[in-house]
Amino acid sequence: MSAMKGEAGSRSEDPFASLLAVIVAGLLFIPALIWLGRGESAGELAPPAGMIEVLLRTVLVAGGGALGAWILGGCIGVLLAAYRAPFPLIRDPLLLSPFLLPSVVVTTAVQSWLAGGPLTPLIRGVPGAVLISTLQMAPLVMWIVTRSLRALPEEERLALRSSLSPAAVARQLGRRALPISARAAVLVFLLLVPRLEVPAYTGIETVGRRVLVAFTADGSDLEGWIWCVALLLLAAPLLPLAIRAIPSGRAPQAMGGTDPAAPRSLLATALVLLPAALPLVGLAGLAVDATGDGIAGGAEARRWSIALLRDLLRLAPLSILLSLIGWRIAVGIGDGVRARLLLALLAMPLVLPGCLPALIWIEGALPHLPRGLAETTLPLSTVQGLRFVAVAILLGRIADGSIPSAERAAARLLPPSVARRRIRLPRALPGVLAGAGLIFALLLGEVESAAQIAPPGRLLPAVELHQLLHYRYDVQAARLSLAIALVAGAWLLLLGALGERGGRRP
Amino acid sequence: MTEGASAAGLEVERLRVTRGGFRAGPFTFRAERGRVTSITGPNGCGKSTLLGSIAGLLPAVDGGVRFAGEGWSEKERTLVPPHQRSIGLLPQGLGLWPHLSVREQARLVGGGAEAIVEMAEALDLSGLLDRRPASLSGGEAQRAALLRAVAPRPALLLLDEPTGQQFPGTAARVREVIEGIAATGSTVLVVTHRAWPGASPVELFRRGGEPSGGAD
Repeated sequence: MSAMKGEAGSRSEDPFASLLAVIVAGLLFIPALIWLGRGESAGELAPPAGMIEVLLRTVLVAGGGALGAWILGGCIGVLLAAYRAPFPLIRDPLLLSPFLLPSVVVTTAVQSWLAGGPLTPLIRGVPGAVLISTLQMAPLVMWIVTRSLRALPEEERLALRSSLSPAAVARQLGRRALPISARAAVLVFLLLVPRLEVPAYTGIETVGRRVLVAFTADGSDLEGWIWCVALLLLAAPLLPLAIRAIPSGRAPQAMGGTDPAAPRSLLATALVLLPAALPLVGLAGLAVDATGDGIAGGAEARRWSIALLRDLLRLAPLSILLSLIGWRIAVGIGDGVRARLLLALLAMPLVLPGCLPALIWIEGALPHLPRGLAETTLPLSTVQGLRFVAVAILLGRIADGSIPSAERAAARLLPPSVARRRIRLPRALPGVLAGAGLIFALLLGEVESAAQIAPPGRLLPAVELHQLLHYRYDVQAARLSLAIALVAGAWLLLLGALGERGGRRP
Repeated sequence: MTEGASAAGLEVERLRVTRGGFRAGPFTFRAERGRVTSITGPNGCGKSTLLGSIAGLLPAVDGGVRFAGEGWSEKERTLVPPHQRSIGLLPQGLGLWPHLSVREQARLVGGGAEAIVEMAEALDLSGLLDRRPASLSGGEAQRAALLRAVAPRPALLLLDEPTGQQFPGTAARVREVIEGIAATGSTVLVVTHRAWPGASPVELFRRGGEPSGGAD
């Protein structure tokens, strides 16, 4: 038997996962090097004007949104785990709807809902950006928290239910949810830092907007890169927290599962549904507004339906592929210094403005691709996939962490490839599929790179929506966004049901 | 350790293990080939942790594990990964994979079809081979996990309370099967609260303390 040095820990490095991570990272960094190699970035190396102020405002908005999402999403997650809300099959997609909708739509919906009333000051500026980010990101925290809490071992759940009152159970679950919800909040912070749409629609300037201006309008590339470095420095200390240390050793439950021993509570249900209802009601109010000009006719509706269907066919397999790649990297990359560096590289597109990977690809990789290939959706899919690969890895880590430690320990006596194929993937499948649903929602609403790199003549729903809102066709925009949410919700529902079926104990 | 000692099968020397904040050891003992060695001791003295470390599932901080003369671990280094150690393991939590039937689990770890049927008969599991863990009782699940551990005829069998959930009659059958495996030349290490008749005892007296039954 050959000697092999290694750690006895469960996350030892496997070369294929590292190679996969290197390939994925290379898809962005090789074009970036080509772009940088053009030597057009020369300029005066000085901090851009107002840098500290813009950085602080960015931290304030992202931090406030993450904190709000942590509190709101954490509370909803605990309530959902402690009590039974009705209609479990559609409950999760409904609760996730603010996250499934493109952020520009949530912004418009909340603004139209609150405008004119006493809460009008809350729709603009930093408070507006924080409020809207909170409402949009709380469902993500809720989803992660609920998933973790529903995955408690059955014996532990029964012991809690049999010895404590429902309120005491909720308190116990709340304590357990604290670390995982904190890590989810870190992920939210990283997602919020580079955002463009919410700050743009609430009228504040953040680092993301400055990067976009620097690379596309009247700024210089060098200034853009200085802002990027500032963003990375801002996010770098948090990356390991978001990527690592997802707790393990819990029994798996598919996403729609409910603890049958949990009591029903109307009050809890109402509290849970309220944050999801706010943007949806605002949006529905806009969509049925018959006074709106230029109501979409049959031809327009047909055009949107075809565009949505084509995007569904493109993004459904892409989201599953991305989720599987994320899971594969997560289970094999290990915890060493080299692995952390690779993960940090893969997380960079997540913490930089979404337009940047597209710009890098347009100038670095597209000129080297055959024309036939360059004019397909492949470059766009690649760029969008690169943006969210870090999310896929994180969700893959959560899915793998849901395998009980005793099962995982038993699997470690098998050859690693057999253990992955026959034990870890089937057991993590509900989480991998649910993760694919979330990634699908992110991809469907992704507008920054879609606007830059869409193939000629291809109508993309997210870009169309952005244009409708830009030209104030609010009614059509509301209808299109409801259609987008419906498609994302249906796909999430389907994946959730598949995961439920695959993960259900026989 | 001397060359002559390697014939003993398993050799554990001044092994210290960590599990979360819990530190166990140092443990020093030998387990001979073809015999059952029982490890007894009070709750919390590190018996299960010791088994996990011998299997390579828990990191050692000091000491070493050798089997049949080959070093498996030395201080903090793992020299042979768990899946290359020819180990059958019955852990405390059983660790049965809920998506596979009892037969599929035994096949997956390398058990031959005939050996599985034969062993299942001995363990009173013949009618349960195509059932999945969720439909088994606690005692049946434990025997299913034992079947998975013994099916590939491992060179080293590590068993954590293998009769803990069995009725006296079934416990006797389980003991017979385990002793039968030892008789074929395997080294069998059993963690138990009660003495195992006919086994070489290794007693761990205090929490994380030195074993008295081993040759330290």
